[in-house]
Amino acid sequence: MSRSFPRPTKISAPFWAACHERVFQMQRCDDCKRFVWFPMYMCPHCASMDLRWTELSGRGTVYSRSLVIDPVSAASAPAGPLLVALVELDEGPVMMTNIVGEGAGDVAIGARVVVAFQQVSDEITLPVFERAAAGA
Amino acid sequence: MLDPSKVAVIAGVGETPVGRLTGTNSIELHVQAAKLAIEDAGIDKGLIDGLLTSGAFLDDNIRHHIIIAENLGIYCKTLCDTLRTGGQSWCHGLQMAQWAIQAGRCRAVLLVGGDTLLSSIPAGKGLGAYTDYGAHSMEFETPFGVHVPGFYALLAARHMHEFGTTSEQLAAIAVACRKHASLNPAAQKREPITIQDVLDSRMVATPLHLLDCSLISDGGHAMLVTSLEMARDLKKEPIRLAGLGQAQSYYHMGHLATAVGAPPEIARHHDLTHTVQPVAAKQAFEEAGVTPADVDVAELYDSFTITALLQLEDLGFCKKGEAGPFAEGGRLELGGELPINTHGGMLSYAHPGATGGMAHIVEAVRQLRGECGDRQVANCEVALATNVSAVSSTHSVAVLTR
Repeated sequence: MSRSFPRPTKISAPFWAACHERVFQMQRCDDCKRFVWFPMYMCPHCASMDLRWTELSGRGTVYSRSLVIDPVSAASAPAGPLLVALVELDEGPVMMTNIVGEGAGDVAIGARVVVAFQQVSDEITLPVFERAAAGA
Repeated sequence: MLDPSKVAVIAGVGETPVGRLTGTNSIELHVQAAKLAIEDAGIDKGLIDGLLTSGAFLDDNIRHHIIIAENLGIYCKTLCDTLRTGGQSWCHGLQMAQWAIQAGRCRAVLLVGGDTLLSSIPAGKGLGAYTDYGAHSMEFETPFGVHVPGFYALLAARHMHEFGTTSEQLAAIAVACRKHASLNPAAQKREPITIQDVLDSRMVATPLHLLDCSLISDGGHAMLVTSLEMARDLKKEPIRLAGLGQAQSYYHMGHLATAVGAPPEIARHHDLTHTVQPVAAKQAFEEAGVTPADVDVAELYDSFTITALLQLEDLGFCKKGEAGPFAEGGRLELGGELPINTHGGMLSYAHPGATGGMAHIVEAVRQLRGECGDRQVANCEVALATNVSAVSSTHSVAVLTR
Protein backbone atom coordinates (compact mmCIF):
# COMPACT_ATOMS: atom_id res chain seq x y z
CA MET A 1 0.00 0.00 0.00
CA SER A 2 1.22 3.44 -0.84
CA ARG A 3 1.98 5.66 2.12
CA SER A 4 -0.26 8.25 0.53
CA PHE A 5 -3.31 6.10 1.25
CA PRO A 6 -5.10 7.70 4.24
CA ARG A 7 -4.24 6.01 7.51
CA PRO A 8 -6.64 7.19 10.21
CA THR A 9 -5.06 8.35 13.46
CA LYS A 10 -6.50 8.88 16.93
CA ILE A 11 -7.68 12.34 16.00
CA SER A 12 -8.74 11.71 12.39
CA ALA A 13 -10.54 8.39 12.84
CA PRO A 14 -13.98 10.02 13.41
CA PHE A 15 -13.62 11.93 10.15
CA TRP A 16 -12.84 8.83 8.11
CA ALA A 17 -15.45 6.72 9.89
CA ALA A 18 -18.11 9.33 9.08
CA CYS A 19 -17.04 9.55 5.43
CA HIS A 20 -17.41 5.79 5.25
CA GLU A 21 -21.03 6.27 6.41
CA ARG A 22 -21.40 9.10 3.86
CA VAL A 23 -21.55 11.77 6.53
CA PHE A 24 -19.38 14.85 6.00
CA GLN A 25 -18.26 16.24 9.35
CA MET A 26 -15.42 18.32 10.71
CA GLN A 27 -14.51 19.58 14.14
CA ARG A 28 -16.07 22.86 15.25
CA CYS A 29 -14.71 24.88 18.13
CA ASP A 30 -17.18 25.28 21.00
CA ASP A 31 -15.50 28.54 22.00
CA CYS A 32 -14.81 30.51 18.78
CA LYS A 33 -17.41 28.59 16.73
CA ARG A 34 -15.04 28.24 13.78
CA PHE A 35 -14.58 25.01 11.86
CA VAL A 36 -11.23 23.24 11.93
CA TRP A 37 -9.66 21.39 9.02
CA PHE A 38 -7.79 19.01 9.15
CA PRO A 39 -8.61 17.10 12.38
CA MET A 40 -6.63 18.60 15.27
CA TYR A 41 -6.22 18.33 19.01
CA MET A 42 -6.43 22.07 19.62
CA CYS A 43 -8.34 24.81 17.83
CA PRO A 44 -5.69 26.55 15.71
CA HIS A 45 -7.75 29.74 15.77
CA CYS A 46 -8.28 30.29 19.51
CA ALA A 47 -6.34 27.47 21.26
CA SER A 48 -9.48 25.97 22.79
CA MET A 49 -9.40 22.24 23.45
CA ASP A 50 -13.20 21.99 23.11
CA LEU A 51 -13.70 20.74 19.56
CA ARG A 52 -16.91 18.96 18.62
CA TRP A 53 -17.57 16.87 15.50
CA THR A 54 -20.24 18.70 13.52
CA GLU A 55 -21.90 17.83 10.21
CA LEU A 56 -21.34 20.28 7.35
CA SER A 57 -23.63 21.35 4.54
CA GLY A 58 -21.37 19.62 2.04
CA ARG A 59 -21.46 22.69 -0.19
CA GLY A 60 -18.58 24.79 -1.34
CA THR A 61 -16.90 26.80 -4.07
CA VAL A 62 -13.87 25.83 -6.15
CA TYR A 63 -10.90 27.92 -4.93
CA SER A 64 -8.39 26.47 -7.38
CA ARG A 65 -8.21 23.51 -9.70
CA SER A 66 -5.75 21.56 -11.84
CA LEU A 67 -6.14 18.67 -14.19
CA VAL A 68 -3.28 16.42 -13.11
CA ILE A 69 -2.43 14.36 -16.17
CA ASP A 70 -0.54 11.52 -14.49
CA PRO A 71 -1.53 11.55 -10.81
CA VAL A 72 0.79 9.82 -8.39
CA SER A 73 -0.16 7.33 -5.73
CA ALA A 74 -3.78 8.40 -5.67
CA ALA A 75 -5.79 5.96 -3.61
CA SER A 76 -8.76 6.88 -5.75
CA ALA A 77 -6.92 7.10 -9.03
CA PRO A 78 -8.60 5.69 -12.07
CA ALA A 79 -6.33 5.32 -15.06
CA GLY A 80 -5.84 8.76 -16.52
CA PRO A 81 -6.07 12.39 -15.49
CA LEU A 82 -7.61 13.50 -12.21
CA LEU A 83 -9.19 16.89 -11.48
CA VAL A 84 -7.54 18.03 -8.26
CA ALA A 85 -9.13 20.99 -6.53
CA LEU A 86 -9.06 23.17 -3.48
CA VAL A 87 -12.65 23.68 -2.36
CA GLU A 88 -13.66 26.47 0.00
CA LEU A 89 -16.47 25.05 2.08
CA ASP A 90 -19.43 27.26 2.94
CA GLU A 91 -18.44 26.83 6.59
CA GLY A 92 -14.97 28.32 5.99
CA PRO A 93 -12.26 25.68 5.65
CA VAL A 94 -10.43 25.09 2.36
CA MET A 95 -9.67 21.46 1.58
CA MET A 96 -7.88 19.44 -1.08
CA THR A 97 -10.19 17.09 -2.98
CA ASN A 98 -11.14 15.77 -6.40
CA ILE A 99 -13.96 16.97 -8.60
CA VAL A 100 -15.68 13.97 -10.16
CA GLY A 101 -18.67 13.30 -12.36
CA GLU A 102 -20.08 15.07 -15.38
CA GLY A 103 -18.15 18.13 -16.48
CA ALA A 104 -15.48 17.67 -13.83
CA GLY A 105 -12.62 18.35 -16.23
CA ASP A 106 -14.03 21.74 -17.17
CA VAL A 107 -14.93 22.92 -13.67
CA ALA A 108 -13.86 26.54 -13.18
CA ILE A 109 -12.64 28.42 -10.15
CA GLY A 110 -15.73 29.85 -8.50
CA ALA A 111 -17.98 26.95 -9.51
CA ARG A 112 -20.38 25.63 -6.88
CA VAL A 113 -19.79 22.02 -5.84
CA VAL A 114 -21.37 19.53 -3.48
CA VAL A 115 -19.77 16.67 -1.59
CA ALA A 116 -19.95 13.11 -2.88
CA PHE A 117 -18.25 10.01 -1.59
CA GLN A 118 -15.87 7.62 -3.28
CA GLN A 119 -15.18 4.34 -1.49
CA VAL A 120 -11.61 3.27 -2.19
CA SER A 121 -11.13 0.36 0.25
CA ASP A 122 -12.96 -1.57 2.95
CA GLU A 123 -12.05 1.17 5.44
CA ILE A 124 -11.58 4.36 3.45
CA THR A 125 -14.09 6.50 1.62
CA LEU A 126 -12.76 9.78 0.23
CA PRO A 127 -14.82 12.97 0.31
CA VAL A 128 -14.88 14.20 -3.29
CA PHE A 129 -17.07 16.82 -4.94
CA GLU A 130 -19.42 17.07 -7.90
CA ARG A 131 -20.70 20.13 -9.71
CA ALA A 132 -23.78 21.43 -7.95
CA ALA A 133 -27.09 21.87 -9.74
CA ALA A 134 -27.75 25.43 -10.92
CA GLY A 135 -28.67 27.77 -8.08
CA ALA A 136 -27.16 25.57 -5.35
CA MET B 1 32.68 50.52 12.49
CA LEU B 2 31.65 46.91 12.74
CA ASP B 3 34.11 44.51 14.34
CA PRO B 4 35.43 42.52 11.32
CA SER B 5 35.66 39.43 13.50
CA LYS B 6 31.85 39.55 13.85
CA VAL B 7 30.94 40.29 10.23
CA ALA B 8 29.96 37.14 8.29
CA VAL B 9 31.06 36.69 4.69
CA ILE B 10 31.09 33.96 2.07
CA ALA B 11 34.76 33.13 1.63
CA GLY B 12 34.50 30.17 -0.70
CA VAL B 13 32.08 28.34 -2.96
CA GLY B 14 32.17 25.08 -4.89
CA GLU B 15 30.01 23.23 -7.35
CA THR B 16 30.52 19.79 -8.84
CA PRO B 17 29.49 19.07 -12.41
CA VAL B 18 25.71 18.70 -12.70
CA GLY B 19 23.43 16.65 -14.90
CA ARG B 20 23.60 12.86 -15.11
CA LEU B 21 26.63 11.73 -13.07
CA THR B 22 26.38 7.97 -13.37
CA GLY B 23 28.28 5.96 -10.79
CA THR B 24 28.55 8.57 -8.06
CA ASN B 25 26.45 8.97 -4.91
CA SER B 26 25.30 11.76 -2.62
CA ILE B 27 28.09 11.28 -0.07
CA GLU B 28 30.79 11.53 -2.74
CA LEU B 29 29.13 14.67 -4.15
CA HIS B 30 29.09 16.27 -0.68
CA VAL B 31 32.82 15.57 -0.34
CA GLN B 32 33.67 16.82 -3.83
CA ALA B 33 31.69 20.04 -3.37
CA ALA B 34 33.16 20.65 0.10
CA LYS B 35 36.68 20.11 -1.21
CA LEU B 36 36.07 22.65 -4.00
CA ALA B 37 34.77 25.29 -1.56
CA ILE B 38 37.69 24.71 0.82
CA GLU B 39 40.17 25.08 -2.06
CA ASP B 40 38.31 28.12 -3.43
CA ALA B 41 38.66 29.85 -0.07
CA GLY B 42 42.16 28.54 0.49
CA ILE B 43 41.33 27.71 4.10
CA ASP B 44 42.97 25.10 6.33
CA LYS B 45 40.26 22.45 6.83
CA GLY B 46 41.23 22.23 10.48
CA LEU B 47 39.85 25.74 11.03
CA ILE B 48 36.30 24.68 10.09
CA ASP B 49 34.23 24.45 13.27
CA GLY B 50 30.71 24.59 11.85
CA LEU B 51 28.90 22.26 9.44
CA LEU B 52 25.36 22.44 8.04
CA THR B 53 23.88 19.92 5.64
CA SER B 54 20.31 19.49 4.43
CA GLY B 55 20.05 15.74 4.32
CA ALA B 56 19.69 13.98 1.01
CA PHE B 57 16.98 12.05 -0.79
CA LEU B 58 19.50 9.27 -1.42
CA ASP B 59 21.73 8.04 1.45
CA ASP B 60 19.90 10.10 4.06
CA ASN B 61 20.40 9.68 7.79
CA ILE B 62 18.57 11.12 10.79
CA ARG B 63 21.92 12.72 11.73
CA HIS B 64 23.11 13.30 8.19
CA HIS B 65 25.43 16.09 9.39
CA ILE B 66 27.50 13.59 11.38
CA ILE B 67 27.87 11.27 8.39
CA ILE B 68 29.15 14.16 6.28
CA ALA B 69 31.40 15.46 9.07
CA GLU B 70 33.04 12.05 9.34
CA ASN B 71 33.55 11.82 5.60
CA LEU B 72 35.21 15.24 5.67
CA GLY B 73 37.20 14.67 8.84
CA ILE B 74 35.75 17.71 10.61
CA TYR B 75 36.04 16.47 14.17
CA CYS B 76 34.77 18.97 16.75
CA LYS B 77 32.07 21.42 15.68
CA THR B 78 30.44 24.16 17.78
CA LEU B 79 27.55 24.30 15.27
CA CYS B 80 26.51 21.17 13.37
CA ASP B 81 23.07 20.14 12.15
CA THR B 82 20.98 18.77 9.32
CA LEU B 83 18.67 21.51 8.10
CA ARG B 84 15.25 20.06 7.37
CA THR B 85 13.85 23.06 5.55
CA GLY B 86 14.13 21.41 2.15
CA GLY B 87 14.55 23.70 -0.82
CA GLN B 88 14.91 26.76 1.38
CA SER B 89 17.75 25.29 3.48
CA TRP B 90 20.60 27.43 2.21
CA CYS B 91 19.63 31.05 2.70
CA HIS B 92 18.32 29.74 6.02
CA GLY B 93 21.67 28.04 6.63
CA LEU B 94 23.52 31.24 5.76
CA GLN B 95 21.55 32.98 8.49
CA MET B 96 22.48 30.31 11.04
CA ALA B 97 26.11 30.59 10.00
CA GLN B 98 25.91 34.39 10.25
CA TRP B 99 24.51 34.15 13.77
CA ALA B 100 27.30 31.76 14.78
CA ILE B 101 29.96 34.13 13.40
CA GLN B 102 28.34 37.22 14.94
CA ALA B 103 28.10 35.49 18.31
CA GLY B 104 31.71 34.43 18.16
CA ARG B 105 30.70 30.77 18.39
CA CYS B 106 32.28 29.67 15.10
CA ARG B 107 35.27 30.68 12.98
CA ALA B 108 34.28 28.95 9.74
CA VAL B 109 31.01 27.26 8.84
CA LEU B 110 30.79 24.88 5.88
CA LEU B 111 27.39 24.43 4.19
CA VAL B 112 27.27 21.48 1.82
CA GLY B 113 24.69 19.49 -0.13
CA GLY B 114 24.57 16.94 -2.92
CA ASP B 115 22.26 14.33 -4.37
CA THR B 116 21.80 11.95 -7.29
CA LEU B 117 18.12 12.34 -8.14
CA LEU B 118 18.67 11.76 -11.85
CA SER B 119 20.95 8.72 -11.89
CA SER B 120 19.56 6.94 -8.80
CA ILE B 121 15.81 7.06 -9.45
CA PRO B 122 14.28 5.31 -12.48
CA ALA B 123 12.70 7.69 -15.00
CA GLY B 124 9.06 8.36 -14.21
CA LYS B 125 9.37 7.14 -10.61
CA GLY B 126 10.66 10.34 -9.00
CA LEU B 127 7.38 12.04 -8.12
CA GLY B 128 5.98 8.85 -6.62
CA ALA B 129 9.16 8.26 -4.64
CA TYR B 130 9.07 11.83 -3.36
CA THR B 131 5.44 11.40 -2.32
CA ASP B 132 6.22 8.17 -0.50
CA TYR B 133 9.19 9.89 1.17
CA GLY B 134 6.61 11.81 3.17
CA ALA B 135 6.86 15.27 1.71
CA HIS B 136 3.52 17.05 1.90
CA SER B 137 0.35 15.93 3.61
CA MET B 138 0.10 12.17 3.43
CA GLU B 139 -3.37 11.88 4.93
CA PHE B 140 -5.42 14.76 3.56
CA GLU B 141 -3.83 15.93 0.32
CA THR B 142 -1.79 13.32 -1.56
CA PRO B 143 -4.62 10.73 -1.45
CA PHE B 144 -6.36 12.92 -4.03
CA GLY B 145 -3.59 12.27 -6.54
CA VAL B 146 -1.82 15.60 -6.32
CA HIS B 147 1.96 15.61 -6.70
CA VAL B 148 4.49 18.44 -6.48
CA PRO B 149 3.80 19.92 -9.94
CA GLY B 150 0.10 19.59 -9.12
CA PHE B 151 0.46 21.62 -5.93
CA TYR B 152 2.22 24.41 -7.81
CA ALA B 153 -0.34 24.12 -10.61
CA LEU B 154 -3.07 24.95 -8.10
CA LEU B 155 -1.06 28.01 -7.12
CA ALA B 156 -0.58 29.02 -10.76
CA ALA B 157 -4.26 28.49 -11.58
CA ARG B 158 -5.27 30.70 -8.66
CA HIS B 159 -2.81 33.43 -9.69
CA MET B 160 -4.21 33.33 -13.22
CA HIS B 161 -7.76 33.54 -11.86
CA GLU B 162 -7.06 36.50 -9.58
CA PHE B 163 -4.75 38.52 -11.77
CA GLY B 164 -5.14 37.36 -15.37
CA THR B 165 -1.64 35.93 -15.54
CA THR B 166 -1.09 33.91 -18.72
CA SER B 167 0.79 30.77 -19.71
CA GLU B 168 2.89 32.92 -22.03
CA GLN B 169 3.97 35.09 -19.10
CA LEU B 170 4.95 32.04 -17.05
CA ALA B 171 6.82 30.69 -20.09
CA ALA B 172 8.86 33.91 -20.28
CA ILE B 173 10.56 32.83 -17.04
CA ALA B 174 11.55 29.46 -18.52
CA VAL B 175 12.80 31.18 -21.67
CA ALA B 176 14.97 33.61 -19.66
CA CYS B 177 16.48 30.81 -17.62
CA ARG B 178 17.27 28.76 -20.73
CA LYS B 179 18.83 31.76 -22.46
CA HIS B 180 21.15 32.19 -19.50
CA ALA B 181 21.90 28.46 -19.30
CA SER B 182 22.96 28.62 -22.95
CA LEU B 183 25.74 30.96 -21.78
CA ASN B 184 26.75 28.68 -18.89
CA PRO B 185 28.98 25.77 -19.96
CA ALA B 186 28.09 23.90 -16.74
CA ALA B 187 24.31 23.93 -17.30
CA GLN B 188 22.37 20.73 -17.91
CA LYS B 189 20.05 22.13 -20.62
CA ARG B 190 21.60 24.68 -22.97
CA GLU B 191 19.52 24.58 -26.17
CA PRO B 192 17.58 27.87 -26.37
CA ILE B 193 13.79 27.63 -26.23
CA THR B 194 10.91 29.93 -27.17
CA ILE B 195 7.65 30.73 -25.44
CA GLN B 196 5.93 28.55 -28.02
CA ASP B 197 8.26 25.64 -27.13
CA VAL B 198 7.09 25.90 -23.52
CA LEU B 199 3.43 26.01 -24.53
CA ASP B 200 3.92 23.06 -26.89
CA SER B 201 5.64 20.91 -24.26
CA ARG B 202 3.61 18.14 -22.65
CA MET B 203 1.00 19.21 -20.09
CA VAL B 204 1.89 17.97 -16.59
CA ALA B 205 -0.85 19.56 -14.49
CA THR B 206 -2.88 22.41 -15.92
CA PRO B 207 -1.71 25.12 -16.37
CA LEU B 208 1.89 23.90 -16.00
CA HIS B 209 3.68 22.33 -18.97
CA LEU B 210 6.82 20.21 -18.76
CA LEU B 211 9.03 23.23 -19.50
CA ASP B 212 7.39 25.11 -16.62
CA CYS B 213 8.94 22.47 -14.33
CA SER B 214 12.50 22.34 -13.02
CA LEU B 215 14.96 19.65 -14.06
CA ILE B 216 15.90 16.45 -12.25
CA SER B 217 19.66 16.35 -11.71
CA ASP B 218 22.69 14.99 -9.94
CA GLY B 219 25.12 17.47 -8.39
CA GLY B 220 26.62 18.97 -5.27
CA HIS B 221 27.29 22.48 -3.96
CA ALA B 222 29.12 24.00 -1.00
CA MET B 223 29.79 27.37 0.62
CA LEU B 224 32.16 28.45 3.33
CA VAL B 225 31.12 31.25 5.70
CA THR B 226 33.80 32.94 7.82
CA SER B 227 34.31 36.26 9.55
CA LEU B 228 35.47 39.17 7.43
CA GLU B 229 38.62 39.22 9.55
CA MET B 230 39.47 35.61 8.69
CA ALA B 231 38.51 36.03 5.03
CA ARG B 232 41.05 38.82 4.60
CA ASP B 233 43.77 36.20 4.95
CA LEU B 234 42.11 33.82 2.46
CA LYS B 235 42.32 33.63 -1.33
CA LYS B 236 39.08 35.13 -2.63
CA GLU B 237 37.33 38.46 -2.30
CA PRO B 238 34.88 38.08 0.60
CA ILE B 239 31.21 38.45 -0.28
CA ARG B 240 29.17 40.03 2.49
CA LEU B 241 25.97 38.57 3.90
CA ALA B 242 24.49 42.04 3.86
CA GLY B 243 20.95 41.02 4.72
CA LEU B 244 19.20 37.77 5.52
CA GLY B 245 15.63 36.89 6.40
CA GLN B 246 13.28 33.96 6.62
CA ALA B 247 9.57 33.33 6.99
CA GLN B 248 7.85 29.97 7.10
CA SER B 249 4.17 29.05 7.10
CA TYR B 250 2.49 25.67 6.42
CA TYR B 251 2.28 22.53 4.32
CA HIS B 252 -1.47 22.16 3.69
CA MET B 253 -2.63 24.29 0.79
CA GLY B 254 -6.01 24.85 2.42
CA HIS B 255 -4.21 26.33 5.40
CA LEU B 256 -2.19 28.57 3.13
CA ALA B 257 -5.37 29.75 1.40
CA THR B 258 -6.89 31.00 4.66
CA ALA B 259 -3.79 31.58 6.86
CA VAL B 260 -5.23 29.27 9.50
CA GLY B 261 -4.16 30.22 13.02
CA ALA B 262 -2.80 33.65 12.16
CA PRO B 263 -4.15 36.60 14.14
CA PRO B 264 -6.67 38.57 12.02
CA GLU B 265 -4.30 41.51 11.47
CA ILE B 266 -1.78 39.10 9.93
CA ALA B 267 -4.21 36.69 8.25
CA ARG B 268 -5.72 39.46 6.12
CA HIS B 269 -2.37 39.88 4.36
CA HIS B 270 -1.98 36.24 3.36
CA ASP B 271 -3.60 33.63 1.17
CA LEU B 272 -2.42 31.23 -1.53
CA THR B 273 -1.07 34.00 -3.76
CA HIS B 274 0.08 36.27 -0.91
CA THR B 275 2.87 34.24 0.70
CA VAL B 276 4.92 35.08 3.79
CA GLN B 277 7.96 35.89 1.64
CA PRO B 278 7.47 39.67 2.07
CA VAL B 279 8.24 39.15 5.78
CA ALA B 280 11.56 37.49 4.93
CA ALA B 281 12.32 40.06 2.23
CA LYS B 282 11.66 42.99 4.57
CA GLN B 283 14.13 41.56 7.08
CA ALA B 284 16.78 40.99 4.42
CA PHE B 285 16.42 44.33 2.60
CA GLU B 286 16.28 46.35 5.82
CA GLU B 287 19.33 44.62 7.26
CA ALA B 288 21.22 45.27 4.04
CA GLY B 289 19.99 48.85 3.82
CA VAL B 290 18.98 48.42 0.18
CA THR B 291 15.72 48.25 -1.77
CA PRO B 292 14.62 46.02 -4.67
CA ALA B 293 15.59 48.84 -7.03
CA ASP B 294 19.23 48.43 -5.93
CA VAL B 295 19.40 44.74 -6.94
CA ASP B 296 21.66 44.11 -9.95
CA VAL B 297 20.89 40.40 -10.30
CA ALA B 298 18.20 38.21 -8.71
CA GLU B 299 18.82 34.48 -8.40
CA LEU B 300 15.24 33.35 -7.69
CA TYR B 301 14.40 29.83 -6.59
CA ASP B 302 12.59 28.37 -9.58
CA SER B 303 11.21 24.93 -8.88
CA PHE B 304 8.49 25.96 -11.32
CA THR B 305 7.93 29.08 -13.41
CA ILE B 306 5.14 30.12 -11.02
CA THR B 307 7.54 29.84 -8.06
CA ALA B 308 9.77 32.53 -9.55
CA LEU B 309 6.94 34.64 -10.93
CA LEU B 310 5.24 34.94 -7.54
CA GLN B 311 8.47 36.16 -5.96
CA LEU B 312 8.70 39.12 -8.34
CA GLU B 313 5.67 40.43 -6.44
CA ASP B 314 6.45 39.22 -2.93
CA LEU B 315 10.03 40.54 -3.04
CA GLY B 316 8.72 43.94 -4.13
CA PHE B 317 10.04 44.13 -7.69
CA CYS B 318 6.48 44.82 -8.85
CA LYS B 319 3.04 45.17 -7.27
CA LYS B 320 0.92 42.18 -6.31
CA GLY B 321 -0.76 40.80 -9.41
CA GLU B 322 1.61 42.48 -11.85
CA ALA B 323 4.31 39.84 -12.15
CA GLY B 324 2.85 38.45 -15.37
CA PRO B 325 3.34 41.63 -17.40
CA PHE B 326 6.60 42.29 -15.49
CA ALA B 327 8.04 39.00 -16.76
CA GLU B 328 7.43 39.92 -20.40
CA GLY B 329 9.59 41.68 -22.94
CA GLY B 330 12.97 40.38 -21.86
CA ARG B 331 12.99 42.32 -18.60
CA LEU B 332 14.28 39.25 -16.75
CA GLU B 333 17.00 38.43 -19.27
CA LEU B 334 20.63 39.55 -19.29
CA GLY B 335 20.62 43.12 -20.52
CA GLY B 336 17.11 43.62 -19.13
CA GLU B 337 16.04 45.59 -16.09
CA LEU B 338 16.26 42.64 -13.68
CA PRO B 339 18.26 39.64 -14.91
CA ILE B 340 17.25 36.52 -13.01
CA ASN B 341 18.89 33.11 -12.66
CA THR B 342 21.99 33.90 -14.67
CA HIS B 343 23.28 30.33 -14.22
CA GLY B 344 20.06 29.01 -15.75
CA GLY B 345 18.23 28.27 -12.52
CA MET B 346 16.67 24.98 -11.62
CA LEU B 347 14.62 25.24 -14.79
CA SER B 348 17.74 24.88 -16.98
CA TYR B 349 20.99 24.68 -14.94
CA ALA B 350 20.18 21.86 -12.52
CA HIS B 351 17.90 20.73 -9.70
CA PRO B 352 19.73 18.09 -7.66
CA GLY B 353 17.16 18.14 -4.84
CA ALA B 354 17.65 20.23 -1.74
CA THR B 355 21.03 21.49 -2.93
CA GLY B 356 19.38 23.07 -5.98
CA GLY B 357 18.79 26.25 -4.04
CA MET B 358 22.46 26.55 -3.08
CA ALA B 359 23.36 26.99 -6.74
CA HIS B 360 21.45 30.30 -6.72
CA ILE B 361 23.68 31.57 -3.91
CA VAL B 362 26.87 30.24 -5.52
CA GLU B 363 25.92 32.05 -8.73
CA ALA B 364 25.21 35.27 -6.80
CA VAL B 365 28.69 35.03 -5.25
CA ARG B 366 30.30 34.46 -8.65
CA GLN B 367 28.39 37.40 -10.17
CA LEU B 368 29.62 39.69 -7.37
CA ARG B 369 33.17 38.42 -7.86
CA GLY B 370 32.88 39.02 -11.61
CA GLU B 371 33.65 35.39 -12.52
CA CYS B 372 30.71 34.71 -14.84
CA GLY B 373 32.20 35.23 -18.29
CA ASP B 374 29.58 35.45 -21.05
CA ARG B 375 26.75 35.67 -18.52
CA GLN B 376 28.35 38.32 -16.29
CA VAL B 377 26.12 41.19 -15.18
CA ALA B 378 28.12 44.40 -15.62
CA ASN B 379 29.06 46.29 -12.45
CA CYS B 380 27.31 43.79 -10.20
CA GLU B 381 27.28 45.25 -6.68
CA VAL B 382 24.09 43.88 -5.09
CA ALA B 383 22.88 40.33 -5.68
CA LEU B 384 19.74 38.70 -4.34
CA ALA B 385 19.33 34.96 -3.81
CA THR B 386 16.15 33.26 -2.61
CA ASN B 387 15.24 29.79 -1.43
CA VAL B 388 11.67 28.50 -1.37
CA SER B 389 10.14 25.25 -0.28
CA ALA B 390 6.87 23.40 0.32
CA VAL B 391 4.63 25.05 -2.29
CA SER B 392 5.88 28.59 -1.74
CA SER B 393 5.14 28.35 1.97
CA THR B 394 8.64 28.60 3.41
CA HIS B 395 11.10 31.24 2.36
CA SER B 396 14.59 32.51 3.01
CA VAL B 397 16.14 35.52 1.33
CA ALA B 398 19.76 36.68 1.08
CA VAL B 399 21.08 40.04 -0.04
CA LEU B 400 24.76 39.72 -0.90
CA THR B 401 27.18 42.55 -1.60
CA ARG B 402 30.86 43.02 -2.38
